[in-house]
This record gives sequence, C-alpha cells and structure tokens, in this order.
Amino acid sequence: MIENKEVTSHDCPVCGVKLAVSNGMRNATIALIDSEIGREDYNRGQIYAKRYSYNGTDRSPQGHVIFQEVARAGLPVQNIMYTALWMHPKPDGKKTDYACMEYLVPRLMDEVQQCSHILLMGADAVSFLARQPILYTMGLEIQVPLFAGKKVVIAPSPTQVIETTVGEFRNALSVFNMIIRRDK
Amino acid sequence: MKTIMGLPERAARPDEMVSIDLEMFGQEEDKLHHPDQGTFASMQVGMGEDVYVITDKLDVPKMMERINPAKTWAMHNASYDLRHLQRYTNIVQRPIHDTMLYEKLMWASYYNSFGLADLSRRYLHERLDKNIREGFSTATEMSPEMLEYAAKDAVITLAVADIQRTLAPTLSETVRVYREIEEPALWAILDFQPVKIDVGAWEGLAETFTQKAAEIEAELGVNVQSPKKVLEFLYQQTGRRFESTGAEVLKPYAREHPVIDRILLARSYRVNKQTYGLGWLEKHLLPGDLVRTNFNQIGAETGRMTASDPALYNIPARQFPEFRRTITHKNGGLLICDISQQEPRILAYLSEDKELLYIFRNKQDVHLMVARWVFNDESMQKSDPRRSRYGKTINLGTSYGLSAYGLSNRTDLTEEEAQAFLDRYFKKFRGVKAYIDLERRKAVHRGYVETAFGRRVWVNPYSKQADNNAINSPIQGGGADQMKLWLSFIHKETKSRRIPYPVVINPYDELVMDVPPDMKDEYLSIAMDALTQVSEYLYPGVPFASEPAYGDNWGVKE
Repeated sequence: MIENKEVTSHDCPVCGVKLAVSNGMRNATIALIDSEIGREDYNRGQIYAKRYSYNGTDRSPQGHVIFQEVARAGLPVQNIMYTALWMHPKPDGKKTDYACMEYLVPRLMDEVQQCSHILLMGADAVSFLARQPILYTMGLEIQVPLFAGKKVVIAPSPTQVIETTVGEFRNALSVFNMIIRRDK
Repeated sequence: MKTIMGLPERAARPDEMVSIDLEMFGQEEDKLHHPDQGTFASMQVGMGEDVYVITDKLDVPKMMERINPAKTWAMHNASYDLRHLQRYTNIVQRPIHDTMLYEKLMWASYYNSFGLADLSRRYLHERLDKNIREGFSTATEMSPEMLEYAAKDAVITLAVADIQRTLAPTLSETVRVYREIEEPALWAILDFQPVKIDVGAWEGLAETFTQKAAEIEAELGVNVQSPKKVLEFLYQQTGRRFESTGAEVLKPYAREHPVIDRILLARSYRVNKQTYGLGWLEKHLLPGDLVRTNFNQIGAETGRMTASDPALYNIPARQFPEFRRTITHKNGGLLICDISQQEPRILAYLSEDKELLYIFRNKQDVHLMVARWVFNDESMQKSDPRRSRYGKTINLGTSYGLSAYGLSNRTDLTEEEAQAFLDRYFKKFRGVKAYIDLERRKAVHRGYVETAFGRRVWVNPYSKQADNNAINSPIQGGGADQMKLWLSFIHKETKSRRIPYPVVINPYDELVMDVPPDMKDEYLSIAMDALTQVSEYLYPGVPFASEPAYGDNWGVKE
C-alpha cells in the first residue's frame, strides 16, 4: 500500500494550502479518484488514512466505505491507487471558479498517468475532469478526452454513500470490475 | 425498435406487455398532478418491435382500443400518465406494471433515485438525457427531437419492465407487495378527491398570527426576525451569549429562561404566517376553494405515502391545531378514521411479545400500562400526565430505536434515569428487546429488513441511522402496508356499491373522507369492516382499533 509509496506532501502553489497525499499501490493500473479528501483524512495528511479507531475500524469514514466496498466488489486490491481531485479543502465561498484547478488537474493527470482504468467518484471529479453531469452518468462507462485511452466509470463519492444510500456505489463498482476483468 | 407515427395496425395480443407513455405541453412542474393542467402533446406505445406515436388527442381512444387486450401495460410513474389519459378516454382498473413503483419496492433505501433515466443507467447501461423535457413546458408542437425523446421513453420503459419481470421469480415477496398492495392502491389514490379549504378561516388565521407575533414582540420589545437583535436581547435578559438564534440552540435553555419560549413562539407565528399565509392560498387554491395535493405513493423508503404541492400533511397541526380546522368538507362533513396506536400494535405482532400482545388483546391502554410498569405504580390512572409524557414516549420511541440519550432529550429525565426506565421496560417486554436485536442482525447479514407482508427496505450499513432504520422500517413500512390495503378495500367496496369514493387525504395513520351526513353510517361501516379485514389479513391475532369522528372539519378529532 502507499503507506509504502515514497510520496511527499507539499503545498498547493495556487493557494498555498498544504496538500494531502495519495494512498494505495505504487504503479497501480487502477485509480479511484474521489472528488475531495475528507476532513479527518486531510488532518491526517493522507487520503483514506489509517487511524487508531473509527467505528471499530482503523479507517476514516470515507476510507471505511472504500475499503469495504472495494473488497466486496472483488477488485484487485493490490493494484489500486486512491487519490482525489481536491487534496486540500475547497476554498470557502467559491462555487465553480476554482483557480486551484490549474494546478490540481495536471497534478492528478500526472499521478494517474500509468493507470488504464479509472473510477471517478463524486460531482466535482466528474464535472471538472469529465465535463459531464454525475446524475446521468453514475454506473456508466464514459469517454473522457482528458483520459484518452483509459477506461472511465462514474460513481458517487464515499461521502454520498454515508449520507444517502449505497446502491449506486455498488452498482458502479460492479460495472467497473466487469470492465477490468473483461480487459484483463 | 422502430418509431412509427400513427396507430398500430394490429391490436395487442392478450399475452403481451405494451408500454405507454404520455407527453403534455404547458404544464407547470409543481402542478403535474392537476388533471386539467397542460395540453396533449403525444402518446407513445411500445408494442412488439415498434413504438407507435400519436400526436392528436382524438386518436387516444383508438389507441386504447388497440392496446386494451394486452395482458399488462408497462408505465413509468403510471399515476401521472393515467391521470392525464383519463381526460381523453375512459380507463377502467386493470393490471399495470409501474416500473417506478416496482423499482422502489425492490430497492427501497438501496438507491435514492428512481426516475426512468436512473433505471436506464442501471438496467440498460444507457444514458437517457432528460434535458429536452423542459422544452415541453413552452412548446406547442412536437419537434423531431421531442418525438425521438418521447419514443425513447416508451422503448426504455418496456425494456426495463421486461428485465424487472425476469427478476420476479427471485423476488416473490416484492411481487406480492406490488400486486396486492401497491397496484390496487395506485387506483385508490388516483381517485382521491380534492380537499376543501375554509378560505375565510385560513385568511383569519394568517391575520391572527401576525397580530399575536406583534403582541409578543411589543411585550418583549424586540423584533424576533432579526437574529442580531434577538442575540443582544437574550444577552441582556439571560447574561448568556448564544452562538445563534436557532431553535435547537435556544430550546435547551427555555426552562431556565422562559423568555426563550416567547421568542420561539413569536417566531413560529411569523414563519407560519409566511408559509401558510395568503401566498399559500394564492398558489394552491383552485376554483370552489379546493386544493389538490400531489400524493407520492411510495414517498418514504419505508413505503409510506407523502404529499407535496402543497405538503398538506406538514401543516403544524400540533403546535397550531387551528390549521386543521380550516380543512373542511364540500359534501356535508368529514369522516375521520385513524388507527389507534398503530405502530405499537405492529410491534406487538412482529415481536410476538407476550406482554404487549396481552395488553392489546385485553383492550388495555398501552401507554398507561407501560407508564405504570416503569414507575412501578399500579394505581396510575389514564389522566396521569406520566402516561403521555413517559409511557407514550417510550412506546412510540421503541419503534425508532429510542436510546437513553433520546429519551432524556424528549423528557425531563437525566440520561441515567432514562436508561433505568428503558432497562425496566425491556425487562418486562423481553420480546421487544429480542425483536430489536434480531432486526439489527438481519440488517447486517442480509442488508435489508422486511415488513410482515414482505415489503423490503434496505439498510445502508454506513449510515449513522442504520441500527434505527433496521428496527423502524418493518414497523413504519408495515403501517404503510396496512393503510394502503385499507384504502384499496374501501375503494373496491365503494365501486362495487356504486357510491362515490370519498377519500380526500390519508395522513399517515388517518383516513379523511368527505361524506354527506345521511351516508355517514354507511361509509363508517365500510371503513371499519375494511380495517378489520385488512388487519386480520396482515396481522392476525392482534386487534386494531379506531376512534372515528365526524364533523365540520379535520380538527374534529382534537
């Protein structure tokens, strides 16, 4: 897991806020890209970070969802990288005009360069990276020019799973897994 | 599938399922349930390999002739299509496969959206863009894009219905709930009559609320609508700096500082005047002082029905019972039948708790009996305030997984006292405790829980409410099963007697019927017989009771 990956944290050059780091396997070919990092994970400095106790698990709430559901879906856990578009909290008071994207999007592109299969999770990741409305695309494989040549499936974010229901997430993971196995 | 403009050449086969979809022009989004809203745009029928589209409303009866022989009509959100199709042709009750209702039954609380576009994604892996639909509100003619969109809806509805039916053998309970409860209820709800409002009383209420708020403001010397001024005022009065003026922040200090209750009351008057004032009438009142509510048949995940546009059930009936008195009759009087202590009775059935069953079978007052037990006071009488304050709170709260913290918040008990009360309750009602533990385990192992009749409600394992939902869903959902079946029985009986179907609203455990005085007894007997039959069918061995009332307005049961 990237607990082993040699990643170092640094600041967002646009707003100066410290960035958290990714999680998962080095050189993974599967990327799970969340929209934003959870508050607890940000404080910890790593997405879906381990901690000593949360609800009887050692994961943050989002991490708990992700790791449980990834295992449940049967995805190859040794070949996954977990990251997010927003690796620092969103600036307050802005809705769509995010200057940080100028840095965050290329950073992410670089990070998932070697990945052939991508799961985009949550509204921000889908709208900023795929330019599509998440409502019409959850659980579907879509074409994303930014990720040309890669297979991209859309899912809700783990935060939404906690706040609403789990079905769309499971459905998306199942479709994603099917595509990975088909392409194997 | 091929799109063909015009009527099909052949009639549907008796073993065939066809899909039906209707598009209308000029409808307002919040008035889609008004049967006179908008004008005919098109009707699409998916049959065999083709979709047939008609754009002339005069062709509707001919289209109906062609598709009437079909075994089943597949529709998505059938109540909308049926309501408006009834404007152009007579439709008698018949088998409908409503893909939306079906999906809600299969996946309640597993998914949270059930539009056709959602089903298209999930079943057909196909994106269905609904943006073009907005164009129908202003258009008067079908463009080629609109026709394509309309035809696609019929194609997808048929394809989804087909897939849902192939899943049916693995979901026998769901199919049963659909056929026996939801499908008949669809027709019963479709026939709800609009409700009449006493406009003068409503207007008077708005005026009274303004006056009462102004009186309290004058007495206190503060404008309760200005958070800044209220915070300053509270600091002067209480010496405490509150972080906000929200009721949840202020309420815990109300006992210590009675002025807080006055502020909250004045604010309630203002808010309710604003929500339910003259603007409400302007927005919702129809000719004849009638209001037509949009009933969402499976509005809550548990299967409970909800109402919107206007949300008539949300009027603050408890805080301001005056509101219910403005809901009146057009036929002579309102007959109100409720189910007394519905949820505790369902809990008794599900848990098979001997003590609870004994209480109901012997027509004892469950709230009183529980209060007597937790206080260890056999002499407590029905008029004792502890009956309602503690007995009722515990009884109703048990169905929602009430904790000591929750009980303490709802009463004046400390958390330790509340825990002691609950411990004592569960010592007596051991079956209830066993039921709670079992449902929670079922939710973890299967991912869902079920009502006694088999309605399935999924439990999100990551939700903070998972434990409570596991307990409550079979109870609240069981209440929904009972109410809908009750409605359908009354609907069927009134049809067979050829008398008007009188239901106007169905708020949770109540049925409100608008009936003339000389027919009151007949309707009462129909309703009570139906309740007995339904209860014996769903919950054999547990008697259900009702305390009906008849009067000028909905408030007659106060």
